[in-house]
Amino acid sequence: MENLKIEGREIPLDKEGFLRDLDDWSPQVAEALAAQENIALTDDHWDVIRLLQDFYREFELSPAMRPLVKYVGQHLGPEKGRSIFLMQLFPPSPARVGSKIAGLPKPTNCL
Amino acid sequence: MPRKSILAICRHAPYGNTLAREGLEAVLACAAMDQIPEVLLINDGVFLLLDQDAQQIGEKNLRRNLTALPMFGVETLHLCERSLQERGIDPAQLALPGAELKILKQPGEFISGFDQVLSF
Repeated sequence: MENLKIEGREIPLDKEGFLRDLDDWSPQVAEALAAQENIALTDDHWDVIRLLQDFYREFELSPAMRPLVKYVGQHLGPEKGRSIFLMQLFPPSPARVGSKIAGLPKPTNCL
Repeated sequence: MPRKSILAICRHAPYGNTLAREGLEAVLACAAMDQIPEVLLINDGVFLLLDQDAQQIGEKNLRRNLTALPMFGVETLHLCERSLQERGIDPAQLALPGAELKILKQPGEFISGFDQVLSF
């Protein structure tokens, strides 16, 4: 995957497009990572991105699908705590694609 | 065919070697694949439940990872009573948000009830 160039700064990515240095994350970086996945970020996306980052701070790991659905349900309500909602935001694999855009490491147990 | 029951046994203290982390990751991987295992902390594995300051040694905090288990669908942790007693750990001090802690007097009997056992 080619590195990102944001405001003249080069941001290194690994071969699957995850940030090599998690400290490089910024909202602009998220926009650029999302663009690589053909996703335009809406308020719903940002809500989930913030939750992914909270999840990582709380548990020190990136979520798989099941815990992500549960966590979103706990914080944004049962309407949004459903796979279909997350699938629409971050297809085709919400835990992986969402973690990438939120600047988390790749979920270790996510195929 | 009925689904096989899986038990993961964590026998080692965190950080001395990688077994505690490996065990926890195996549990998370099973759960992510919809094969939710039961978990037994025994011998030095009971230390996983105590508070840890892993930043001091540049490691990730395994207790924090452990608190993610209920999110992954593992809602019961089994603890060996004798292992706790031998290490002077009072079960009343232990807690894991969202999980039930069950103290076992007879871990052998418990282990023999599973189809498959992963030992770490």
